[in-house]
Amino acid sequence: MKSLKLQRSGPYLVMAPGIILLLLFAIYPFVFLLKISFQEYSPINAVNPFVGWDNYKELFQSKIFWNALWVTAVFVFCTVFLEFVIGFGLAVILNRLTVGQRIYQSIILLPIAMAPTVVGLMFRFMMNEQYGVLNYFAEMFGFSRTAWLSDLNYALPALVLTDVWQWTPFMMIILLAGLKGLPDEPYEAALIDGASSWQSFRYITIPQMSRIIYIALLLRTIDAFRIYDTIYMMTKGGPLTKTSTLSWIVYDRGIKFLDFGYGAAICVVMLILVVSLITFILKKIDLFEVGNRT
Amino acid sequence: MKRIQVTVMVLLASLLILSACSSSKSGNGASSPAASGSASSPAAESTKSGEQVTLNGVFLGATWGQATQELAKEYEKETGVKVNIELVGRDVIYQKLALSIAGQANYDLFNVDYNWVPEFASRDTLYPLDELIKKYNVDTSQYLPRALALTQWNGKNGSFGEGGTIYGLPQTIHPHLLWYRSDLFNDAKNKADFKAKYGYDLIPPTNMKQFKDAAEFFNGKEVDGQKIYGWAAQATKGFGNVHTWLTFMYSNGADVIDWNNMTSSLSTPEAIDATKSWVDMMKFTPPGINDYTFAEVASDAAQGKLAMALHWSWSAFEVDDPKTSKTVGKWDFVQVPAMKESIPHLAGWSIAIPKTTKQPDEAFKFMAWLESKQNDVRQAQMGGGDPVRSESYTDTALTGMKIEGTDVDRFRRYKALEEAMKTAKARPFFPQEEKWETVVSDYLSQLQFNQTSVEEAMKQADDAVNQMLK
Repeated sequence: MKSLKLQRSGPYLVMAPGIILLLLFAIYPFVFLLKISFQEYSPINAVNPFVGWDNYKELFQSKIFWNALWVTAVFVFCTVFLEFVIGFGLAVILNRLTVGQRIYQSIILLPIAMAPTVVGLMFRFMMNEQYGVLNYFAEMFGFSRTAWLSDLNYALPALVLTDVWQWTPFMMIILLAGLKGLPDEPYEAALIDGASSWQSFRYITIPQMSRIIYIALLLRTIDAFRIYDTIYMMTKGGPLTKTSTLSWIVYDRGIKFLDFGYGAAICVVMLILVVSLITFILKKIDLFEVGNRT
Repeated sequence: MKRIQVTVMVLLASLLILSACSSSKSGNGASSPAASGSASSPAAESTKSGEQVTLNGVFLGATWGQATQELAKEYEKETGVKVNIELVGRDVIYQKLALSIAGQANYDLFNVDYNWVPEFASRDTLYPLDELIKKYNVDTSQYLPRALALTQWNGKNGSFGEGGTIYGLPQTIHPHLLWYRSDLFNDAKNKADFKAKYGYDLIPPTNMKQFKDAAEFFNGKEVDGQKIYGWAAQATKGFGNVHTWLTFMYSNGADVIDWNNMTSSLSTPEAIDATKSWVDMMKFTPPGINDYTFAEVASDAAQGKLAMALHWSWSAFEVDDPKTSKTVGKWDFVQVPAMKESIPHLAGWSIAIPKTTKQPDEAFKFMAWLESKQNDVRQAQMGGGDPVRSESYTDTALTGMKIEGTDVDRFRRYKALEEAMKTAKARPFFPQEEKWETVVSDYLSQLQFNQTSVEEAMKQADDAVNQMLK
């Protein structure tokens, strides 16, 4: 009887360390975050009073928040879209390469290995109006010099460009792994039926890759929402508020002044937004539907 | 089952997002051994056992932070007290100070930007030094009055220069000075051309009209094969634009807060006038100026791209470095141009002891040693920053120093600097200054991008500041 009980509790015992760690390092911080979002909380305050929904009210009344929401949406859409298109293109090309595939892969993957702060600093120098290499080439080809990072029209595209440069290889490597795993038979059948390359790609590759694509999009979307380091190094949310994303204002309007309560409120709103998006994508993937696998 | 799996996936994915929200905190000191508040850190243990005293300090990763690191080694040789100095950026110091106070961490010294003194002192988190000053006979009268004032807080908003409890010792000051290219200003052709155009002699500007005329005159000229610009100053959003604009404000007799009523006073005629002058002068700055921090200003000055700059006194070492500068010995320094009176914005860094320290005496002894007569001079010699003691400005060890390989005085800025320190004014001295800067910076930024009129921007800034002060 005793051994049966032990046997039954086995799985729970095995899972216990993981659950404890999850509670400690993930659930507790989340609950804490949620709690302080209802407080006027600063680490150097003697008392941190509860203020109800005040932080959220202030947030929703703030133009800066709505602007940040818009900037984040534009940034996430543009970066994820461009990274997907370029990444998929590179993955298809690399998949077809028969010579030097590994060398190309290694070179293309280099940006991922760099810290976002380093990438931010590097692009800040490259985009400098007077000393930057981009302007050097622009001038060489007859264009005028541009202050990319302090221009109202170019600052956000410059940030998008930087992110695309760094994270397209990530998208590429996931999609390449997917392409490598595709079976040859459907393509052979399509060839016999006279399908063109485009038709094979559109009607065989894309449907078979759909789940991989969704996962790649999901991971990059989550990551794009979190952009902070690059903004800090390149634009500090400016010019004006043209590159102030949600994660930037968590710092710039909350953490920076030790106003952790307000910062936490932004985090919670951001979390709700992202979780809603993730839920939508996960439902789309239908990842756990066993009988519906393609 | 599927619903549970989806829920777990959503939970895990949301944790990924959460990590973004928590990264700032962990990245700012909570993860460092000293900030963890562990009672078993070497500092705490050695002090208790009496074997070795170890102090932990956080300093700005600027030249005076580096000088402190070097001098700390000598202090250890002299006294046996080990001083660990971490060098980090400004924002990180601020957050580290707050988090270390909250976490009772074993930090003993912090390099503080002076606007944090009212903020942290008002929350009773800085160690008051008056008793220690008496105990160790430190003569504070030797410090430049305005340098010492940066470390004092009497609990009243806007009380810069009115005395109060001393919460730190000053380490370096750097008021705005007007930098000008003496070779260009003394050039006979430039002088003649300028006089022909403006009807008076080309001299280092003393007032706003002369400043504007000189900036206009030099802007776009070709010098040594490259185009130069009239002037430059910090202008980036966040703090750079506020710091430059304050010199215009103060020099026109404007103040940013009505301290009697604790309301914003950015729409006064003096403030509007000063702001208009600042905006107007931006015409003669390099493209991309709105992105300029002090690094870009110094770099442009060193590369010979500017005729003038409104810049920190301390940064002058960057234009006199033969390894990186094309303009060694060519810059000279005077008071900032007056509208009504020349009143530069004063920047400065001090050293403070958090109240959570377990060894305030040892921390104070190191501070006092570091800011002694001898080491004030040595820090300057090491390129650390401009001295905080009056006597250092006449010390021949400094006034006699030449730029290597030239007969140009290395510290030729001291005369202007001493004068500047008689009128220099700090940023608004009250606990919410850091937030005030960010709020005002947004509206100044709108002016830089011609988004609105000066009157409208200042009115909106007034409303936003008043909202913040509620």
